[in-house]
Amino acid sequence: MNRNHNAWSDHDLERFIDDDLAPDARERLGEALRADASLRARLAAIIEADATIRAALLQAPTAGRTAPPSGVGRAGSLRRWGMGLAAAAAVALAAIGALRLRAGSKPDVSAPIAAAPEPDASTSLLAMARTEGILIASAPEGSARPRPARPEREPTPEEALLALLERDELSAALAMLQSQPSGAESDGLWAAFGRRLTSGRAAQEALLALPPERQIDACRAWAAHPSLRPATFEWLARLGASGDESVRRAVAALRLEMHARPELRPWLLSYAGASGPEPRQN
Amino acid sequence: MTSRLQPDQPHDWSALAERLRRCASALAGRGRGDLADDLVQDTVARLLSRGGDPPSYAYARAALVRLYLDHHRGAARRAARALRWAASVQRRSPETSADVDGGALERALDRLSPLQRAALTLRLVEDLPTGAVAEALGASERVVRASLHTARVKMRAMLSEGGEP
Repeated sequence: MNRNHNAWSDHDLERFIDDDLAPDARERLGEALRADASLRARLAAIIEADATIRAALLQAPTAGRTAPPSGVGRAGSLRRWGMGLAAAAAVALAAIGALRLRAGSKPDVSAPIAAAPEPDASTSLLAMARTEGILIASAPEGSARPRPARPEREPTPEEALLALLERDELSAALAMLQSQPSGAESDGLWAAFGRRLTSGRAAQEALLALPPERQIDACRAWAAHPSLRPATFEWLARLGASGDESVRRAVAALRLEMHARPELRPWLLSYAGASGPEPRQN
Repeated sequence: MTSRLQPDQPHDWSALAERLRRCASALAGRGRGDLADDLVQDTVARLLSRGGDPPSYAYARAALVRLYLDHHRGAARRAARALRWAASVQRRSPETSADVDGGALERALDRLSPLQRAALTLRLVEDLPTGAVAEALGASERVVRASLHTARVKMRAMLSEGGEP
């Protein structure tokens, strides 16, 4: 039916979301989605539009970026919403496909999960990031100077994490993330970390350095951010196919938790059969 | 997914009516609570008249959707011209043209055919798979797929252009 990635129509993508494709077509489209960032962006745009339509049918606003702007009722708000949709799609595209990281508090980016921790994974990640230029640069351009000291108070955990990232101390940053107990504060740190990454691959590489339970924590936190969802759910699907039963159980529990959030249900549905890309083998 | 995960058998008639209300509201549209109420009450009345315990939610929902389609078929025949005239007057009025909010979304939904709107409701609100939507609508899966696609294309066009579909 469809021989290349450009041949997938919106109707095909809708049927993918509806879980209405034949198994072989679904598998081929899944492969195409993993390989083609623009196709993923189209899928994300359709899912976002579906969420908006659903909200309109229910006559209730949705959460996050899936909701129409707060200016509902004012002229032009829908035009802005349309632009927002385009922006969301563009961010999703950048989140997964781009291999270059940007600096500062730019778009959220996501990443998936993967297999076992490697003892020197963060070191190799940092080396790879430096040599390939795909990671991180957390400091805004032109602001390479260290931040002024703040002797008057202890830095918050988020500030400490960001300071580590600014100094390219990725190993320490990952260790800090691992040491945080799960909870709201941990979610905030994961979100802050995600905002410093602008590439799905970079996030994937970072998560490769973490044990699966921490990857699940990251998925929980990053699912709250629409631009992080494509890669997050892709890797969540992969974790769900893990050979480790405890990981599968944890993923199932997280999916149930996510199911209570209407804005995440289309994502759960559309990634129900996806297994995600293979993790990098070190 | 919600409906798939929840027990399909309501505990009693009031629980059944309460669950039907959301679907009816989505079908009837904003500001048409009276139509939604009528749809729910007529559905429950029909089911009650058959006697016995409350049926499954899926069965009741199918009855509700059929009532909705029947309502539109009759109403459309009776009032198509009047509605088109009223809609054209509304579109021209400055008050309406300034209201490009939920109103635009709602108008776009209103311009879908009853079948398209019902298909969208069952798919996106009730989260039914295509086969179940087709069963509830009494249509083929092919018709349902076409209706869903057409409806989504119209709605996305409206969203991307920020105006009328």
